[in-house]
Amino acid sequence: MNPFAYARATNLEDACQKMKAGALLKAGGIDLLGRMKRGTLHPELLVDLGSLDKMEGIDDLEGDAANQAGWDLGALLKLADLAAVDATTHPALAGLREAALNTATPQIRNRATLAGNLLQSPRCWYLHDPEVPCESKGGQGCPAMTGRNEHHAILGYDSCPVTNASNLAPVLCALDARLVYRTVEGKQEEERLHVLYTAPGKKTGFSTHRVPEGAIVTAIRIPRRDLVTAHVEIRHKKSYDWPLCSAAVALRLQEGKIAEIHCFLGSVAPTPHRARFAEGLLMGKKPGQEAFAKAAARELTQAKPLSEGAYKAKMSQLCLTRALEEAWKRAKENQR
Amino acid sequence: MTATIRMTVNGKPVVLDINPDEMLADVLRERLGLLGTKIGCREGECGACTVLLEGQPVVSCLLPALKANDRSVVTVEGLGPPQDPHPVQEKMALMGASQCGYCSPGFVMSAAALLDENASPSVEEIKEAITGNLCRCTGYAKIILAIREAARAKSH
Ligand SMILES: Cc1cc2nc3c(=O)[nH]c(=O)nc-3n(C[C@H](O)[C@H](O)[C@H](O)COP(=O)(O)OP(=O)(O)OC[C@H]3O[C@@H](n4cnc5c(N)ncnc54)[C@H](O)[C@@H]3O)c2cc1C
Ligand code: SF4
Ligand code: FES
Ligand code: FES
Repeated sequence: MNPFAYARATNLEDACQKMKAGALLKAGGIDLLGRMKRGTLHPELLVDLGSLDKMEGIDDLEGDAANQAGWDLGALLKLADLAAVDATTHPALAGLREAALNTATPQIRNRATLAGNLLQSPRCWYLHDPEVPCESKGGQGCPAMTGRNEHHAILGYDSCPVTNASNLAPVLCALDARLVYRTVEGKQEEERLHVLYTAPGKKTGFSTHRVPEGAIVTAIRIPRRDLVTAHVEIRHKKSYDWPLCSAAVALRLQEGKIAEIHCFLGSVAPTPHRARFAEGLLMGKKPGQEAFAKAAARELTQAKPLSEGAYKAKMSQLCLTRALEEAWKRAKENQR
Repeated sequence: MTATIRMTVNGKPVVLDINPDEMLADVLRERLGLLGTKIGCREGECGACTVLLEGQPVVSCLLPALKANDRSVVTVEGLGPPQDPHPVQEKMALMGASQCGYCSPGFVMSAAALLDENASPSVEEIKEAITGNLCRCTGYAKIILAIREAARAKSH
C-alpha cells in the first residue's frame, strides 16, 4: 500500500472542504482498502466519514395523510443494521433486508456502509489484478473478452463487461430510490439511483456511476412505502463471494391485477439491469406463475453472454421468476 | 504523519502513535505482541483476524488502527487465559474442533459474540454467525458442535 494522509471529517461541511483537495472518501473502507492493498488504487489523502453520526439512521419522510411517504436511509448505515430492519411492518423493505442479510460476512456487515456498498468497485478479476493491463486501467483492450469471463456481464455492456457488484442496488433501483448528495461546491442534489449507474466504456469513461467527483452521499431516499419487494439470489457459497445472479422486484396489486411493477437484475450487467420487457409483459395483467415464467424468459432472450457466461442467462431467468413469485405472495399477504 | 490513539485492548488502556496505513491486525500482533489474532488473506475473506470492536465481530485486517481510537477491542487473549478459558475456547479444544488451529481464534471470536447476544442459538444461527470464518481442516461439523456445547455450558 502507498503511504497516504488521513483526515477525519468532523461534520459534513468539513468533509466537503476536505474533498476539495482531491481526496478519496472512505466509509467502512472494505472496498477501498482492498483495492489499496492490491495496488490498484493509490490515493494521497483519505477523508474518513466514519464518525458522522447523523448519517447512520433511518428517518421517516414527511408523509401525506395515507402515510405512504418513504424513508431516508443514512449513507453510513451499516449493512448489519439494514439486515435487522423490521420487514414485517414494512413489506417495502423486505427485499432490502434480504439483500443486506445475504451480503458478504457478518464481520463485514458490521463495518460496511450502505453508500459504500452502492458505490463499490465493479466485479472483474482482471480489473482487480494490478499486473494485468486493460482499457479500463489506461491500457488497451479487454482480456475478459477472450479470456476467463464466467462472472462477466451478459447484458448492457459496451467494451468493458464488468458487473455491478452491489447486492443492495437492484432492490433499491426497483424502489426508485434516490441518492441525496452534497457536491464539492456545497450544493445538495438528488438523483435516481438507476439513472446514476452507467456502463463503463470508451465513450462514457470508465466509472460505473455518475456521482460527481468529490460529492458526498448523505442519504438514500426511498420515496414511498406502498410497494412490496422481494430479492432472490443464487451463490456458489453462502459467504465470501458475490452472488452469481440476483433479481429484485417491487410491485403493487390492485383489484387482482399488477398495477405497478419494477424489476432489476443484479450481477449480469455493468449496472443493475432493468428488466423492461418483463415489466411490459406483466403491467396491468393478472399475476401468475405462467405469466412470470414467460416474462422472465422474454427478458433474457436479449442476453449476449461471452464464452463462459451462458449459464447466467438461465440462472437470472430463474432468479427473476422466483422474485416475482415471492413478491406476489407478499403482496397477497399484505392485502389481508 | 502519525496520530496518537487511545484504545482499550482486552480491558487495558493502550496509547499508540499510529500511521494511517497501519491495520489493527498488524498493530495487535506486531506492536502489542498479541499473536493470537491470525492473518490469512488480508482482504476480509477468511475471518482469521476477527476481533471484537465494541463487542461486535469485525475483520481487523481491513480496519485502520486509527478507527479503534476511543474504542474497546477484545482479542482471543482477552476472552480467557489458558487457566481460565471462555467456554467456547474450552469446548473447541476438548471436542476436536481445532486441527492446525490457524482459524480457531477467529471462530472463537465470532462464536463468543454470538453467545453474548443469543444464549441458546440454533444450529442455523451458529452456522450464520460463522459464515465469515474459513477453516481448511475440520469440515466445520465439530466447530458447530463445540459452539453448541459452549452455549450449554455457559448458560449453566
Ligand atoms: C469477502 C467479501 C465478500 C463480499 N461479498 C459481497 C456481496 O456478496 N455483495 C455485495 O454487495 N458486496 C460484497 N462485498 C463488498 C462489500 O459489501 C463492500 O466492499 C462494502 O459494502 C463497501 O462499503 P464500505 O462502507 O466499506 O465502502 P468503502 O470501501 O469505504 O467505499 C467504497 C466506495 O464508495 C465510496 N463512498 C463510500 N461512502 C460514500 C459516500 N457517503 N459518498 C460518496 N462516496 C462514498 C468510496 O469513496 C469508495 O469509492 C464483499 C466484500 C468482501 C471483502
Ligand atoms: S471487463 Fe473492463 S475492467 Fe475487466 S478486463 Fe475488460 S476492460 Fe478491464
Ligand atoms: S486476514 Fe482478515 S479476513 Fe483474512
Ligand atoms: S483448524 Fe486448520 S484451518 Fe481450521
